Amino acid sequence: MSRSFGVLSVFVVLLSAACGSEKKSEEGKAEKECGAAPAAMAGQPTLPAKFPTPDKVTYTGQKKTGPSTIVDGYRDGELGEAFDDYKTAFGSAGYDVTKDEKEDDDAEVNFAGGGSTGQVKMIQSCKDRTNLSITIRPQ
Amino acid sequence: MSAPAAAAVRTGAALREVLETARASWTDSATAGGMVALAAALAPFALGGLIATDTLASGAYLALAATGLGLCVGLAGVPSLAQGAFVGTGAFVAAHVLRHTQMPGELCAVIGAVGAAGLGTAAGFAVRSLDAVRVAVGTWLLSWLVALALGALPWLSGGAQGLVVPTRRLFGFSPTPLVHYELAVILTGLCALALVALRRGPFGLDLAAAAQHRGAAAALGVPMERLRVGAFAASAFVGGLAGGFAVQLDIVADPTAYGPLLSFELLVAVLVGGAAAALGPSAGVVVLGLIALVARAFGGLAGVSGSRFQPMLEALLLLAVLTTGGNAFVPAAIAAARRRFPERRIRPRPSAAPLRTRRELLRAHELAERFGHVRAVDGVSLELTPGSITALVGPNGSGKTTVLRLLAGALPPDHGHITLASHELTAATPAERVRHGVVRTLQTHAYFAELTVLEHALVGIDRTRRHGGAVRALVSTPLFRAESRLAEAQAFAALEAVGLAADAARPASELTGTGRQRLMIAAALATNPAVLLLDEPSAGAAAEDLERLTAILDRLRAEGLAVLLVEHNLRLVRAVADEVLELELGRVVRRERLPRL
Amino acid sequence: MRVSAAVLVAALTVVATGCGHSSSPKQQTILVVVDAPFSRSPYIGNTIANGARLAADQLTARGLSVGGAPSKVRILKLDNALSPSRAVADMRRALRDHAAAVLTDGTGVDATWHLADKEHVPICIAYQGGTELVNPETRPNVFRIAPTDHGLAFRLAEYLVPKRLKIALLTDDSDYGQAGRAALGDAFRTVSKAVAARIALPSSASDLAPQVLEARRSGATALLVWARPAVLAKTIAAARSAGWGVPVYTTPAGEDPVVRQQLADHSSWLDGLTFASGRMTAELGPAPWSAFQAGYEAAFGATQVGVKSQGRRVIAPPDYGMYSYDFVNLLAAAVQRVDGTDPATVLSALNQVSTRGANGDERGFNERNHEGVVDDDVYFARFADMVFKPVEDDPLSSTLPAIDQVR
Repeated sequence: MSRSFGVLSVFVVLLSAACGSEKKSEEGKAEKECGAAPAAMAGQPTLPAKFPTPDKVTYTGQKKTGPSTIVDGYRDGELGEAFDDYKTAFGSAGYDVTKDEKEDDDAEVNFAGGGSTGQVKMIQSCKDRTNLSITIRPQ
Repeated sequence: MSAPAAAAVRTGAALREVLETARASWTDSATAGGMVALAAALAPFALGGLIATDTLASGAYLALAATGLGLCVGLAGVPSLAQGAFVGTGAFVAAHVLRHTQMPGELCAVIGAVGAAGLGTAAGFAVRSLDAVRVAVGTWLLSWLVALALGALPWLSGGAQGLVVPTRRLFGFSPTPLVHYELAVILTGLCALALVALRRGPFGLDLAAAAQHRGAAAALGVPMERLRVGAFAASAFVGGLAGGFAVQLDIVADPTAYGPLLSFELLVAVLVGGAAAALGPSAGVVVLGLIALVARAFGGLAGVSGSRFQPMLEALLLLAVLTTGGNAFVPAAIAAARRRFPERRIRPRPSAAPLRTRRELLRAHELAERFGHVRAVDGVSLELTPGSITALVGPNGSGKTTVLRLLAGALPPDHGHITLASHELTAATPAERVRHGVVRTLQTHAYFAELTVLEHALVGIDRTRRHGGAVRALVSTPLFRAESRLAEAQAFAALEAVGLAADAARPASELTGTGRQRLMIAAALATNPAVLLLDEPSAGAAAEDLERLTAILDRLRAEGLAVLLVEHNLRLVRAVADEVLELELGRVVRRERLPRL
Repeated sequence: MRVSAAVLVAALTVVATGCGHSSSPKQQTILVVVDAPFSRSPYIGNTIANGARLAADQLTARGLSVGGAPSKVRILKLDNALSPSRAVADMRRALRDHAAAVLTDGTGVDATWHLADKEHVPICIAYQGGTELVNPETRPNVFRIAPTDHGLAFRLAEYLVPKRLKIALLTDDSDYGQAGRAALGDAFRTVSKAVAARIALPSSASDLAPQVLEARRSGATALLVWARPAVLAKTIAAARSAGWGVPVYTTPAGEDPVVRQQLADHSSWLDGLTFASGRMTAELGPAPWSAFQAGYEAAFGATQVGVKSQGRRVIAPPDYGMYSYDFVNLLAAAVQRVDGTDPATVLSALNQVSTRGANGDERGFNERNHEGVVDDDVYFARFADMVFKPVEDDPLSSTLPAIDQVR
């Protein structure tokens, strides 16, 4: 009986540890301390007319992929705040939010307006920073 | 009496006459047709939830298109496989008019029908002188052409989504499926009545004659090509009308809906239901509907769509009807009904009219004709004087029939000219010569197998009618009716002249060979000729037939006709001829006047 | 006396039970009509219908309650045979039968949406991607869950142009091809230098060698083919049989079994064919899709492509079935939200509900957007030995797992 109890205890401890470590990895990104922020790009990216830039957003680069433009950046703060900020900002700027989806570590807000359609993809990269990738497609 | 009052009195009298005529000519068939029309009108209410009203309406428009095709196939005997193209043309023309104007729906449908009639006229012109097989192939190609054009021109057809059609009121009614259904039934009924009216009138008789024996019809001056073009145009108009209304029911002009398969199905409906019967095409459409149900059942068993089986079943049914030699449904039903309920009404025979003839001199001068190196006719000159019989004799190949064909206009001469009184006939067509008074009978026993004896004579009479056009026949104007009564009396006169008046109601197929030969003489007489060209009328005749023929020819001479008789029977020649011309190798080698007692 | 009492009690019990049964609410039926070209494109039609049926059966099995009454979802299949007029007739039948919604491949929507809108019946397009078919403002009852032509064309341009290829755009003369031609025209308008040629493929031609030769002579280093599956197969055959190993890119038509069936004797010709389509898995990983696929195959069997890969039979994943599946679930969510089947309120609720889709993506619409698949959810997959897997050189595709396609 005591041997069985011992085996069971070990099993429970191991299980807890495993669960704990999983949880830790899930909370890893959100808990990870952020390193140095990427450098901001020189100048402003080419964005559609009245495209909103919420507070705490810094643009780090822009590239053309075929007919579309991808603008990279980040926002200081958590994913949920970035998600809410963009939804509000699009509404204020006269853009339509065609779809939005938020998971634990990432979120997307799809938009239409300013002669374009596209998506703002947000990924929580570390504790206080949310990476942004904005895809802009001409309509 | 004031002018309006007088007009009202005249109108009243005309209406009473129309009603009287309708009552007098009302038959059991008309009663049956009326009951069928009433049942069709009440079908949506009776069938209730069994068949959706929009499905019934679509079927009714199909019946209208099929009835239109009956004009071509049944009246003209022309196997058109382009009716689907005409339906589609009407649909898309109407759709474009609806989309770009504010015209009422019924007007747009009529415009669609006019567009289809234009295409039908062009098609009829293209196939006007082709045989049945080539007509079928040519019209089938037209169906493909229209289908391919719709597929290749999205600006015309709207592409895969079709051309959406705005909803428009129809004759002031909201265009519900029920309104469409009743409209389609009314139009189909009117079209069927038109078929009956046309079939009985000169247009229908001429078309039937042309369908049954082109040569004999041409010899009587039937303008076959013009009639065929007219049949195509009328058939296309009705098809286009069906398409123009159906597209408003469907609310979309569908480029996939008017392909060759639709043309095939419409032809199957006409042939299976009965091309010759006014309601035959409609019955055929009902049969197609039943086939669709069977196909769906097959599809259900096989786990696939029933539409895969439908064309196959339709083709099998058509083969069964054609190859077993069976009658189509409606004619078979009518024949069975007539055996069980014989026609009670007996049409009274009209009072006899005098035989009409003209007295004009025909001159032919130095006629010549070559066939390759062979001089078939070489410098033949003759005169045919009123009240005389000229016989043309000679061995086989001497050119006798060629001379006849040159005089009748069946061959244009290489040299020479022909005049009748003051009219130059050398370049005239056979139909024009018949109108002027030169008419020919054919050497073989050429006749119209499905017409009665009286109808044969009426085909001839039709050449002389002034108020016998198709539109007048449809509307049955007072002039048309008056002229029809006179025409019948004149037809009897022609039959009496050849001793066939008592057989007027008999089918011509029941006559003997010589009887049919006399019948074609009567048909020629009915055209009010000045000159009769008879090609071996005594062929196959027994002694008593020869005596009868001699008496007929004597009568014709007495009536003042000029007769040219081509004969091998020298006894007959000696008995009747006033002058004999002997031909040898295309030349006149002997002229002899025979004394008459 | 005791026996009589016992009999009386038993009889009363039976009567009470019977009365109790008769007073329980009758099961109501929520009818969803699937109007698709079953006779002309059985693969598309059956995939859409099966996806809908799977969702219907699952909802019914889970116990759907609407307005206090147990409900079941019934699917009715009607064949439009790619004919707009048949689609209209099918819509009339659906409305007569009081359908709660109509799922369609897209045939005849231009004509049918108006009929359905009068009765507030929603239509969901589960295949065709033409932009003009869906407009929430002018067609408030039309929705779509399928990749749009706009999305496919732009994603293809985004994927191909950075590779510095000279692309020949080949489109066939079907309406699918013509719609694709217009979409590609929009996508490549600002990058026209990347286009070596624009060539029309006659779908009735048995041999497309002249068109492929024209592309080769234009200096193209890649072919982008937007055509129906059979024409795509002929294009690939024409290029490969001429010894031209040019990379070929295409639309979801590439994953249609017809392409592999027609090239079965030359499986190497298919290697490298890359197509764009809606992704089958999402950020949540492959588990939702695997569950959906397992349920689909348990109910309807795996769709056999008719070819083999390394000796094993190749099956086609039911990705288009996922769209109809998601819509039926959305409809059920809308019905349950309003706890009723009144068409106008259900239609309005469709703009407010969302569900977890078969692939784990959140699916939903709103008043401004009736597209259930965003452009960014288009991924790329490449064939090798008759099966395909996501490409590595696209940011989205490289995150997606390969789907098992052999049995």
